This record gives sequence, structure tokens and C-alpha cells, in this order.
Amino acid sequence: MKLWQDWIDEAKKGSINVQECMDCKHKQFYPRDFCLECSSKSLEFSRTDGSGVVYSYTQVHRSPNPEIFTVPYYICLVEIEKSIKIICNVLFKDEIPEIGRKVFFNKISDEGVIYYSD
Amino acid sequence: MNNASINLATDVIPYDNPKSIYEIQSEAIHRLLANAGLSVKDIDGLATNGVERFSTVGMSEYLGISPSWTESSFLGGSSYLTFIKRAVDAVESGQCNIAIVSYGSNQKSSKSRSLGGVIENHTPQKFFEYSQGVLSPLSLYALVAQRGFHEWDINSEDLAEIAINSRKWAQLNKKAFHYASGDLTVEDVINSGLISSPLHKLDCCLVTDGGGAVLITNDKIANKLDLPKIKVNGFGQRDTHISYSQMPDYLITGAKASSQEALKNSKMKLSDIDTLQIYDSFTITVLSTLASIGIAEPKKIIEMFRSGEFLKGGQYPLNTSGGGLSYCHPGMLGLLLVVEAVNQLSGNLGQRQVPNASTAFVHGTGGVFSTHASMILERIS
Repeated sequence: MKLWQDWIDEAKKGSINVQECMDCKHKQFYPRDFCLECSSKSLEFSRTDGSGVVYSYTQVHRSPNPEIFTVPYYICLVEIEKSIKIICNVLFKDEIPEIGRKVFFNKISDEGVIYYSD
Repeated sequence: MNNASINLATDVIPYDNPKSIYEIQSEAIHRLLANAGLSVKDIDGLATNGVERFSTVGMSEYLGISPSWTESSFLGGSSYLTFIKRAVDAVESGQCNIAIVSYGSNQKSSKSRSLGGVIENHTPQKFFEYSQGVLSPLSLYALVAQRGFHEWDINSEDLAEIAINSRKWAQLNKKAFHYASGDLTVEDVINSGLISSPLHKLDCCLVTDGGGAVLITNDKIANKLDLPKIKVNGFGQRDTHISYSQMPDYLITGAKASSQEALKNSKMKLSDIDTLQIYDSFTITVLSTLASIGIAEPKKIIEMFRSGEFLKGGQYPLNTSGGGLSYCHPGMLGLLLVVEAVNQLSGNLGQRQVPNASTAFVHGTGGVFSTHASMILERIS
């Protein structure tokens, strides 16, 4: 769990990371205590360029937590590295999202909400 | 080794008279055993979950039994297909002789369901996904649907056909929530309101109470009591992920591998199947599962819905109870898919009976397309 908190702390400092294996160079997310490819324990955070591509999106019309999320809002599955995707909120400027659009890391809130924007 | 079979199955849908989980299961089990000519004291195997942390122990205590075999893995909507297979194996290996697989939920009357889903604070899902405001599991199914629109060239009107199909079947099932609701149109589905785009309210399953029970015994007992015998001829299971970010393929799911395995060990082809019972948490769940098990390409599947291939008299009568979309959805539908298949193969379903049905393909999906169990049932006697 410390690994996951570390990832969030890094995001709060402005960087979205994936984990990279120092032995076989495999990249993975979410962080684990071993490499899924070669079982090595030698892993380090590797900073992405903070951009990603919208793989899919949904506009949510009922809020599970109205204090944090005001409807409607967009949740996206964003590909941040080849074969690595994360779930995050995306603030679209023109309110018309599309699959394939490039998005950029914006911030992570105190509640742990990851925001990207286009 | 003994031979085991499924003998009887029943559903209990207490729409007007709320009951506890224990009472729903007890009512189903008592009804089943009375029909079989057995008593609760005869049960020596029990599979259930979602009752309490010690689910089988708590339910056994309520029933006043001490079974020699129990099973309560938590796999969401596919759990109960897996339980049936495990129960057949347990009876065949002699760990028990009279096994019950039972389920009950009062999620609607007890208002126990929440929009954000069940959150466990120590999990990766909590750290990376639930904190993002997802409606769980709705929003992930919505993400799959939107991606499906992109890759499969389909739209909301196409998905609506799946809800319409379920509604038609529900009108033949007096126990269905939407028995008397009349036909559904594409406009009804589109106008029912977006909840997590592109899914509308009527793309989503019902939220109801309900449950049921299935009896599995060895053939010696079944013959003595003159019970029907329905064999599990094929079974396949695949559990692929629980965090959304870890889903290996967002369109073709674990249903591909689980169904191939079930078909392989039953030595059957899809064209040998008389009825399909496919988990329908959402319209997209059905489309993705039918595509994954290889019925046809997604666009062709939608055409088949439009031309009635999934209705009575069609090639693949599908979700003949009305399914989770129009019959009931008590948190997990898995057991009730098996109940409907068993009753179709027993030939006593009146208006919605598929004539001469002797084989059924049942598929359970749990979590967020996470767990998959495929089962092929065949009536022997």
C-alpha cells in the first residue's frame, strides 16, 4: 500500500509515473512489489510525459459523491503508455470528447481525483 | 465415482412482501425439497454467498443442518454457475449426496445498493479507480459500450434492440417485473435518460429482491425419487481482472476462453444449443458476450436481434425469463440464469417454453467483465 501512496504523492508533485523494471525494462501500472514479466524486484518509478490518449469516455449523470463530483462530468480510460491505461476525470474544453484525443495531466486533488484536460 | 445431475430449480421473487436473505433462501429450498420428496435435514452440501461473512455457515445454521461440503467463493455474477459445477463434482466424488445451491438478496427493500459500489479501502481499485467518481459497475460497462461504438460501428439504437428483446420475453413470464409493462420501443430506451453515457436507464438491469435454489443429487437418488436429470456437459471459467485498468481486452472478454472450454468438453457446437441464458447486467454485456462466445460479429448480432433470431422461434431463444433487464436482478443474476435453463430443459414453462429444448448454454459475468463462467446443460431424462 505504501507503493500506491508513493504513486499518489508523486502525482501531487506533478508527475504521472509507471513502474519500470530495471532488469527487463517492462513497464507496468499499478505499482507492485515485483515485475509481472520477469519477477524481478528491482523496480523504479518512471515518469511519463504526462500526456495520454482517450481510449474511451463516459459522461456521468448521477453523482456517487455530490460534494466532489458535480454532474455531468467525464470519466475516461486514458492510455498513458503503450498498453497502460488509467481511469481519470477529463475536463474537456469544448465539452465534445472523442476517442483518440490527446489529453494532458492537470492535477490530482486532495481526495485523489486525477484530472486530465485537453 | 457417482454420476450427478441437476434435478430441480426454482426462483423466489418477493416483489410485494419484503423478506430477509435467510427467508428468501429458506422459501426456495423448502419449495424445491418438497417438490423432490426430500426434507431440509437431507441436505449434506450447500453453496451460497452474499449472506454474511460466513455465508454457508450462517445459512446452514438457519436451516439447522451441518453439511459435509460447502462452497462460497465470491465471483459476483458468475459465482453460481461455478457453484453448480463444484456441487456436481462434490456429489460425483462422494463428498455429499444432496447438494443445494441457493441465493437470496433483498437489495431493493433494504436499500443496500449504492451508486459508487462496494469500496474496500485497502484495494488497488480504491486507490486508483473508485476515487475517480465512477458509478460502479455502471461506468465501466459504459466505457466498454463507447469503445464498442467506436470499433464496431454501432450506436445506442442498436443496443436498444437488446432491451426490447428482453421485454418481449418478460411479457410471457408472470413473475417478471415487466410482465405487464407492454412492448418497449427504441425511443423508450433512448428517452429513458442517460445515466453514464452511452448507457440509458433502460440499458441497465433492474434492481429487485429475489433468489432461488437448485438441487443436485447423485443418479441413484434421482432415479429413486423419479426426478429429472440434467447434466452439466461442459464448463469453462476465466477470471481476468478486478481493476478496470487491468482488463486485458475491453471488447472481447474472458467469455471467449470460458465458452470455448465449455463447448470443447461438451463436444458440442453453438448450433447444437436450443436456448441461451446470458448474463444481462446491461445491454452491452449481452452484445460483448455474444460476440466473445462467437455467435457472430457485433453488427451481425444486432441484425439478428432485429430479425427475431433471439426470440421464440428464432435460432437462439435468449434470456427467456426476460433476464436482468426485464424479469428481475437481485444483485447477482447467476443462479437465476441456471434456474431458467433448468426449467426450459424440464419443459414446463408454458407460454415461454422453447419447444423440445434439450440443451442450454448459460453464461455468467461478474464484476466489471471480470469473472466468466460458461456452462452447457443437457436434459438426459
